[in-house]
Amino acid sequence: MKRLPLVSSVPALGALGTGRADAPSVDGGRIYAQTHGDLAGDPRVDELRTREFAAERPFEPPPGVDRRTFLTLMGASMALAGLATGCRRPEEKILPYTRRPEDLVDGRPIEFATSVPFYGTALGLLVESTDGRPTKIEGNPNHPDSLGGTTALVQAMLLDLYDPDRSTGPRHFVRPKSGGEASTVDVGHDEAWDFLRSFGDALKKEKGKGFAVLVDESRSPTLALALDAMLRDLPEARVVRFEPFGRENARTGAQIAFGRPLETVNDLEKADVLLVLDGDLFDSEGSPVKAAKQFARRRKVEAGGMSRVYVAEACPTPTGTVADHRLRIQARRVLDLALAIGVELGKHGVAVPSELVARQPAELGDKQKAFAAAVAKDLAGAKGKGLVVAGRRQPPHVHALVAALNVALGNVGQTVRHVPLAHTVNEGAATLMALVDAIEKREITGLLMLGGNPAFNAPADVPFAALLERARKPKEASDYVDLLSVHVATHVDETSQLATWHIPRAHALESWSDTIAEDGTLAVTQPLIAPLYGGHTDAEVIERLISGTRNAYELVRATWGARLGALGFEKAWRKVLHEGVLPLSAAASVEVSLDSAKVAAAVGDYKAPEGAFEVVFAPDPHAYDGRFANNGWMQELPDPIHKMCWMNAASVSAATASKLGLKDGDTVEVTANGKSVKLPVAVTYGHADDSVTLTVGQGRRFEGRVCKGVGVDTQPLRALAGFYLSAGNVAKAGGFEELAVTQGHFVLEGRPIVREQTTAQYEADPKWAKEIVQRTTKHPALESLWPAWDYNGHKWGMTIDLTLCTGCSACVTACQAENNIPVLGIAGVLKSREMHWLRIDRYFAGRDGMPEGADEAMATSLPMTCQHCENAPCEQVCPVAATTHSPEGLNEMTYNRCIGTKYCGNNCPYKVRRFNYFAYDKDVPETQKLVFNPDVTVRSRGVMEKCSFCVQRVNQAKIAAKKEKDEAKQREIIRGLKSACQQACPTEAISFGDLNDAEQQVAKNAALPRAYKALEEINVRPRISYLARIRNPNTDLEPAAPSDVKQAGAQPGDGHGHAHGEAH
Amino acid sequence: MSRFLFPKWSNKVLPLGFFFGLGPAGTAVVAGVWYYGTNKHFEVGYAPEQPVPFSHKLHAGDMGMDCRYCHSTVEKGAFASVPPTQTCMNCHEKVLTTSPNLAKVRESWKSDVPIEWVKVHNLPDYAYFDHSVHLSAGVGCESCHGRIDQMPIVEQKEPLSMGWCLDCHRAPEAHLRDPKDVTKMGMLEASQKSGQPMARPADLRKPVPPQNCSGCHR
Repeated sequence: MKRLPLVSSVPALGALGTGRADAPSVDGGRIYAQTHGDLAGDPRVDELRTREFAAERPFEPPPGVDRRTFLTLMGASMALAGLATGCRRPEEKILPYTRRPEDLVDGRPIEFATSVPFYGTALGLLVESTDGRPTKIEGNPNHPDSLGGTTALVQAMLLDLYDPDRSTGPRHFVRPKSGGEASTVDVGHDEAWDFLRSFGDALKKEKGKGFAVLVDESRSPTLALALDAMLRDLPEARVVRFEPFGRENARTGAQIAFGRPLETVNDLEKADVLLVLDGDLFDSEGSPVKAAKQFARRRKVEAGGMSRVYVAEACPTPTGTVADHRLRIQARRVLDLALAIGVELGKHGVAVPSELVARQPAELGDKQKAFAAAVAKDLAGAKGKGLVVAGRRQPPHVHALVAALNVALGNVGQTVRHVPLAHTVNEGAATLMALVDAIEKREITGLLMLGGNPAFNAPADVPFAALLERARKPKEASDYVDLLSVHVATHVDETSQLATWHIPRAHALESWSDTIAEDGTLAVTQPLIAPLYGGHTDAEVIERLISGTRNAYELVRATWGARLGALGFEKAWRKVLHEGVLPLSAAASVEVSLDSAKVAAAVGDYKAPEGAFEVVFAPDPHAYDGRFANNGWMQELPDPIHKMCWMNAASVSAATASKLGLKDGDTVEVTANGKSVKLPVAVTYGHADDSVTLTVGQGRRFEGRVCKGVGVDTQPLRALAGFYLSAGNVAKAGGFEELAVTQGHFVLEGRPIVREQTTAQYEADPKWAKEIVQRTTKHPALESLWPAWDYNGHKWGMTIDLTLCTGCSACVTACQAENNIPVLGIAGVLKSREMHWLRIDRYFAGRDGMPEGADEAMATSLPMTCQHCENAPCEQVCPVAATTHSPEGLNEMTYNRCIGTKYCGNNCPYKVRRFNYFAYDKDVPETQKLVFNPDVTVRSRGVMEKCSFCVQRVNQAKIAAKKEKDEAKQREIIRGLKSACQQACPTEAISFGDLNDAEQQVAKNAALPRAYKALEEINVRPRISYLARIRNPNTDLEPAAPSDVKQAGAQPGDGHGHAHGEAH
Repeated sequence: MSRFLFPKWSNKVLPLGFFFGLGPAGTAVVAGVWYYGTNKHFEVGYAPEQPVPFSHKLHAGDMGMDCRYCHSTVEKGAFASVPPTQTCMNCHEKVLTTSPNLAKVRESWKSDVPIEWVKVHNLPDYAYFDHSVHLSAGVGCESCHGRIDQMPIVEQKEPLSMGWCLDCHRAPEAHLRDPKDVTKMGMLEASQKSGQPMARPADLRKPVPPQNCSGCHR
């Protein structure tokens, strides 16, 4: 098999140096190759290239039938079918309301503002409700933590609402007093309420002695008030909080630095220099949408004032992808890096208290030292305008040190501020251990768990599940433990299966509740639909426990009545419900003073986990901490870095993999804290060496139809002592499992799809990205056989800014939700049949020389969707004209005409056409049919589908504009049109709209010199322009632009580009 | 060996039978179904029996009720909407309160169970039609639904096939009127008889009906 060159087999293009030692230096920019198979010369890559529609085996007829019989039977049944159905068309019924709700227009969606707790903060949402049920989630532009955007997980929450595996009613584990078999009985809601009331009455007699409530980070002021009311009635009870991936380290770090636990609120928009230490700020922690929006506002290349972003991390993340500089470092060495930076800051005159940096940092590598020096210099030059952020998994010692650095740099009050905690509760994995100890000692005999899944997520050495099991044993059993447990959850999950009582919880989209964001902003959660299975909110359960009678709605109104005041309450209440947020309710910053002695002590006490390998625990990109494991959209969503779905793997660097003799899919045994698990390995370019990242959340024991048997549970390794970060070993075990990776299905042969420049290069040669292909290949402009269209009306187009795309895939999930895209399962993905209309391709770039091999490769994400080519190759070959061109530039897809020849998909150079090999709509459970968008056809077997530029939204906007008489209002409607992907994107990388309207962002973007089109050389004239990625590197770490800028292929007499236009 | 051999008479009978019998007969059947199995012949005249014998002739014709009193969402959204039971009861709580014809309506009102009307004008699910934009352009109800005010039982008068839609989309002038008059019945016939287009203010926007696929197919 020919070894694939790094870039391209076309010699001229191949000379655009991207890290091959024999290639000339970067000549004005950088070109990216695609998979790491490209980089490694993997022969499998060549094979995959030629097989878009290939099957593993040729079609085999069903067994036991020979061809002749098969055809006879088919012919006969077809003939009979004609007689059977008759000639009259089937009757279709219309069922109107008996009493139509006011203002409801059948079929036209209404948007409601609500909010959900997630990531330790709250996100404001605008949820589209069609015919009384939610069908699409969008971000609420009014809410500071959303600003109009969402993440992939937030989009997927909608499908969880309609999960057919949800709990349908309360359950009670009964052990008959007279002996006999114990059993679990389904009971009615009234019975569950009766039990709660009697349980609460019994507790009141004891003043709550022996009772504990375990909560998750529900961010609800109403729940906080309910718990306070409960503690007044039950003063001896205790409340603890446990989140598998919570903010306790950051809060404890603030306690060390400032004397009390505080919430750290960052403002990235004010930061000229940003340093992120091992945190995925833009996708899975902190307040990701707000951080991404703020980050994006400082990456406007043309506007000037571009920020500089440094990321130091162990495992590559979307945040690291968009950094200007990314350092791979073990997570356990981050403290040493921060110390080194502290020392360097002192050299630039920053007043870092000397005791803080007294501890000698462990020996850092040269790259790490250079990074620290450069970062420190930049931060020192941007006092008050820089920001250092530590990731959630870093221990409190690092958070405290980072807080101290921010204080020294004068960033506090500018780019970072501290606010009081929303609800102070004992939290963290250690409190769970204390709870279990208390239960074993019989100090706690009653446990109410509101949400969460502690039987699945508890640290490995906290025997929570075992405890619940022991409580179910007969009283005479030797290890019986006296515990009455109640779990309120949306599913009968691992914890509910073991608890004494299970009460169904209302999903966020069917709850009356409220939320408080990390900065204190208050919002209401209002339901989009009555609870599907009679679920209850946490506050309701507490209310019932203390014999209250109010339901969730009354409880929330009471909370807000107190907050908004009685005067004009109804009006104020309706306004809050309408806006989705209480404006100006953010908490005031707390004045902080640094206790540098305490920080120094903590830093001195820090001991990095010792072991050959460090073991890092990250939330699974599909399941988060397990709560989304049964969500088909999330399981099938390729994760941003590996592009893997329907499984989890251990991530190690390429160097480590080659040291251990590992390739993608090999089984490894990872050992930590005395336990080991076996799972496949994923070779991850850019991972730190001798470090392995395990994702938590897969391998659920809950037998949901989606999550059953998916992935490996890595939590046996996650002990209390090393809850986020541990040490252990990785060894090759025998075995292999093919990784379900979507990248590498369509290999684009190293053509310059992704183009990148530094700011200096962009300034020197702005048109490089646009013209590079023309300059190097000297292709004569290809001519089309068909005359060009005149687009005098609307001209729909899109631009995607690669500087901003983090690869978070919120757009992919939004598209899936908006367009009823089916989920296939792992078998379909392994056959490269995944149906996502929009996909994120991850490309690697090499570095000059590549001294450490491909681990130093920088990655970029490129969203790829139907390019709506003006000269579309797919339109030209459809035998039945099922795909046509609209006068406004849309490449249309008419499903009812399509006969499934797949010729269009074959002809598409971008491979964005997806074929329905089976009737994926056939076995959708009844509840899940509710999630479909009624404005988009649900496709059946045998038709092609592809991105339509959200034609349903385009048509709705045009219809609304047509009904409008005022021209200014018409323009406003068209300008307000957003495609689903554009609306979801947290960094606003995607712009969609009318290219003929010069005021629209898309038109402005398309006119930029760095706007280029993918594969433009084949003259398909795509409507999507990509804005070349611009990085803002620190010249101390890399040259801004090489002094010898070679234009490969520019010499006269070059083999390509004869004036006569001969084919080369 | 026993090989099947066609008998000698099949040399003449089979080809003759095919070319003069089965062939023309089969072609006629196919042609007939092809031509007559279309909306124009199949769907026009469809007048199914409804659960409640509601007479548009009485309400819209003799009593002169405007279409939009009941089909209230037609100017706001895609669907004209069969009215909720509440709309019927607006009058029938006081009028004809014991009529046997309205028994099902009263029962629906009491039991909160919808009346199961049979859909007359039915488009396939892959065709997305929007009423409101047609009304705002000035297409009258009778252009597509015929003289509803003369129908004791609703009957489909127009084929509602894609070709029929496109005929108007390509030349809409004959069906456009002042949007204020969309529910007036009889204007279309008068206009067709006189040969004059219906009255329409000159300053209205010129409708641009989509003729491309994605105009209706999503």
